Amino acid sequence: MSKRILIVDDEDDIREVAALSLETVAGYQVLSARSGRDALGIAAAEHPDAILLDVMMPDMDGPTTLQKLQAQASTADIPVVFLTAKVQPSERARFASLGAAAVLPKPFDPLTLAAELAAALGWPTP
Amino acid sequence: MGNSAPAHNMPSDTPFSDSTTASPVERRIGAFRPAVTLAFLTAMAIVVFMVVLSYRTTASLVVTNSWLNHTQDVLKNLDELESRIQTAESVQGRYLITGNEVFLATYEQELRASRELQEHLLALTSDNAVEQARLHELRRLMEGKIEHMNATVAQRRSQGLTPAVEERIATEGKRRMEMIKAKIAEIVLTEQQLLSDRAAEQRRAAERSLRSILVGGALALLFLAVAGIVLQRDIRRRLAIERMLQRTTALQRAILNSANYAIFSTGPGGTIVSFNAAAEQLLGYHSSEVVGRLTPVSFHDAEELNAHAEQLSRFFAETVAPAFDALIAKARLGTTDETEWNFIRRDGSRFSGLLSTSAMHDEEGAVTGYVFIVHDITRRKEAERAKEQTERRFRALLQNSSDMVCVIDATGRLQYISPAVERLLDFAVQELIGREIFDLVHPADTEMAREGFYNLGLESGPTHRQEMRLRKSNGDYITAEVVANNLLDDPVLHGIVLNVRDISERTRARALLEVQNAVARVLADAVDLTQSIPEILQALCVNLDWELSEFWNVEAEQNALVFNFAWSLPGFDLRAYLDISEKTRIHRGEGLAGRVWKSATAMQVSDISHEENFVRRGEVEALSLRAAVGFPIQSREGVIGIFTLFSLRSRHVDEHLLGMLNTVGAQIGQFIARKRAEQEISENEDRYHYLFENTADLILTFAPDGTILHVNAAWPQALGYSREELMKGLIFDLVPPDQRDACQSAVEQALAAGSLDNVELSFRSKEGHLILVEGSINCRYGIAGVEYCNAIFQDVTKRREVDRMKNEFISVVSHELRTPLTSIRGSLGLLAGGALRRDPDKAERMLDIALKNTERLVRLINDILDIEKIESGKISLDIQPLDAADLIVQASATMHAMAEANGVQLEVRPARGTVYADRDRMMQTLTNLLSNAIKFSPKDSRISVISERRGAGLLMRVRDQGRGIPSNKLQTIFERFQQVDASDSRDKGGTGLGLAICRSIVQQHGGAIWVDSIEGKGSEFFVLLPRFQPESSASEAKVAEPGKSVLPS
Repeated sequence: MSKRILIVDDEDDIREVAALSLETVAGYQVLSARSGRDALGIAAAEHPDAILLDVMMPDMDGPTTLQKLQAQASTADIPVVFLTAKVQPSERARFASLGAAAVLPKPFDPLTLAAELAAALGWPTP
Repeated sequence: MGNSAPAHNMPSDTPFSDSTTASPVERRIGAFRPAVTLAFLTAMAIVVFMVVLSYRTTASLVVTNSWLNHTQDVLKNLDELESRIQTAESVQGRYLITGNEVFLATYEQELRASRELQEHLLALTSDNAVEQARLHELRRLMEGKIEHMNATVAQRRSQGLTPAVEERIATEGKRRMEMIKAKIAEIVLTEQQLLSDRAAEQRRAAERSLRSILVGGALALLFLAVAGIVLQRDIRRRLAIERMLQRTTALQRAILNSANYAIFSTGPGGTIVSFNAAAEQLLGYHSSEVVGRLTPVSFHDAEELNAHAEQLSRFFAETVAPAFDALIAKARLGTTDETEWNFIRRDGSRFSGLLSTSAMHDEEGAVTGYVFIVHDITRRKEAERAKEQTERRFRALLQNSSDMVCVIDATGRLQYISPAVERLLDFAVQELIGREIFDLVHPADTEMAREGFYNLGLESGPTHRQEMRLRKSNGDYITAEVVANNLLDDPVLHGIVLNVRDISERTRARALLEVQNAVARVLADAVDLTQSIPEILQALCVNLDWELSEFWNVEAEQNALVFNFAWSLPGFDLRAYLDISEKTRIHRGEGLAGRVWKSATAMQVSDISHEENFVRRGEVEALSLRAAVGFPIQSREGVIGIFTLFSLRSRHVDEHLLGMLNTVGAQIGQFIARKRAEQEISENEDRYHYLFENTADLILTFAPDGTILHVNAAWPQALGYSREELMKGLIFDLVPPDQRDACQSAVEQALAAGSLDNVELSFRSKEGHLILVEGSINCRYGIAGVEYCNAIFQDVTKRREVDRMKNEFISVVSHELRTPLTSIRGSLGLLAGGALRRDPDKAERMLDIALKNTERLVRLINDILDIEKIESGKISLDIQPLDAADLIVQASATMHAMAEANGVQLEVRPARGTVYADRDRMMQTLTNLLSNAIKFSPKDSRISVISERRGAGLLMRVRDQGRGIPSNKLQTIFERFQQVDASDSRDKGGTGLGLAICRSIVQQHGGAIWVDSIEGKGSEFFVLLPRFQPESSASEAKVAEPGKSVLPS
């Protein structure tokens, strides 16, 4: 059974490109959410294998979403990987300290995104 | 000394001893001597006679007794001889009877003894021929008997005891024995007779001797008794005299020993015979060491004695040996010699003594010895020497003293004057004797001197010091300090003693000091030289005793000296002098001042009337001024002015005063230099103080314990405390509690190292704001260590905030740029990787995404570059007079298509007139506002664009009926990337920079932009441009006609 990934990003284009990348290259099933708030509900309902979470989002940013996911029993065990355009080392260290499984940069290579995600989560290479 | 006691009468420990010849008393005692002597001699003769007699008698008795003993010895030997021969016969008989040979041995022994006795008897009687003959007869008889006995023995041995033998014995033997006995008896008889005669003779001799001794002894006793009686009487007399002598001697001894003078006497040859206690004390010898052992020469210095001897030799014209003779040469002649000598003590030390020598004579006038009396005159000599030295010293003092000492009489005439006058006043002593002292006193001081003199006469004793000037022979004056002592009552001196000291140097130095002090005082309070000139001129005149002084300025432009000011003592009419002076220009080398200027050193004119090169001679001479001296003021630039002093009398200024004037000139020059330096320092201080107070830096001085000593104006501004509030506390109190340790640590590090850089601290303002500062602390050291520390901080609160914002902006820009790039990169990556080859729809979709995001990226980059250019001023606005209505109409026309596409109606109501603006930028602003309004306006809603005059400017308003802006965003909406909603940039195609660009453009025009909004109802943006020239009121009214809608064509 293929892995199910929840992509959370307020940018429709990015969400679309990332979803197409994971589906096409790795064959993962992709769920998507347009905001942190949506993500909390979808994650609780669908319980994906991992969540690819944008950092800078209006209303509820990535770190807040992560905290809420962790606080919520049904989603607390879902590994979260940040996908962010904030690539300064201090920022990446901060995100990692929040409990994210990995931090992947934007822009990303659509052909290797799934492999990087798998490697970060200890999954077999797709 | 002539009647001194004999030496043997003195006690052994007496310090004074004597052994002179017989005295008259002795001679009286001697009158008893012949009787005693005769008696003793007679007694002695008798005794001698008796001794001789006794000797002879005794010798006779001894001889007689010897003969008696001899005779008895002979008799004894004869008796023994008889006995021996009888024993021999008896033993022979026993042999003959017994035939025992043992008896023969005894027989032989007895015979030998008999023969020996015979020989002994012959020897004893060798002096008696009769007896010798008898003894020889006896020996013959005995030899016959022995021979007979031997023959009998032989017969017995050979024949045994035969009757023949017995016969022989009974007959011949017996006969022979009888003959021998008879002979011995004969000899014994003779000897006994002889013995008897000799005994009788001995007895007679003894009787004679006894008689002689008895008679002689009696006579001797008689004479001895006579002598004893005489002697007893003699001794009694002697004892009486001796007691008298002892008393006299004790008195003399007491006198001698208590005498202060050393007294010793000698015999004629020089050996000391007496030595008193004072001599012992003075010369250090004990009398026992000198009496009978030394001569007085031992106490003298050999060289002195030699010299004395030579002197005496010359005196007596005959050689006097440098020995004892030299000491007594004069005394021997009967005079008492008194001479001063250096005496040598036993320990080698010396003293001066007056030696008095006299001779002692006996009754016949012969010298019996000498008496030496020594008086210690060391103290006297020392006193004489001291007195002599004192006198010499006083003489030398008077002769060589730099002070002049003189004695004047009651009328003031000089009686005595010490040689110092020649040096002080250049007068010969004789020139002044008899003259009045007041002739020498400076006329100005005469009255004071006379007053002092009269006051002096009222009481005796020294006066206080008085200073006065005394004239020298050349007319110059010295300043002298005079102390007078009234000794008119002194019987020897009968005058007034004046001690005169030349204090010219001191006075000069004092005058210099006073002038310098006066000048310094004047200069200290002076703002500049010109202001202080009058006071300096006065100080020079008063302190240096000149009547007029003036100052000339060096005028660089005219290259001449220009009169500045003059000061004079009262009584001068300076009008003509001032008049000519003010008109005069003195050039280099011209007159005294010009020459001083040229040479740059003090110069003088002793007599103006004889000086050819003198400016204003007539006017100066009209004031009776005779002498002048000038000196320059030298500054760094050279001579800047000349002082000239004038005197009523012709006077010669010595080198000291000229030097002093140069010094004063230099002092004034230094003042000017110092004044300039002070001014520079003051200006610098002002500058630094201004900088200190007005710098944006926070500058603070604090003590090592943290107490704030001083703060600059930046502190009150930054923290809100007053300067007084700040300076009451500690620097640590200004930091928030959690920074206090860090602050103390920084201060401690600075104190330990002397300085600390890169200090970062936070201070808390009075209102509680944190002020972040960076800077350094530097400590200043005094004698006891760090005195205070300077801290210079920069307020970096804003810079940090800017940095933070800058970082945030970069982060945002980075995010904003990466967002479209992510879509582009992702979509193109999928296409390029061939992942969508079988799905053309998705591939096309990816291309769309890529294209759309590329356009977004381009817009974004353009806006970023635009705003940066505008904000940094790299774009210069092309401000021109524009038709205000046309501007709005054009902008609205540009956005017309978009409005139509969104179903929004645009309403334009422009004001007519000329607005001054950059057309393109203002179009950009208005289209941006209109674009936003259109984007956020619901369909069929209306947007109004209105412009109107507002003051001197033009207010343009863009009002929509859109969703409005939340109130918390109204302040930030014009910031970069501060959209109301981040999704707006994608949804509405914005970059998040539009309003920021608008604000920048409006601000560049000197205008303002703001927004008013009600969420859900709509927003209204206002742009105010500062310069607007409205058209005539008519046209304006036309434009402002209400309800008129102008739509683009």
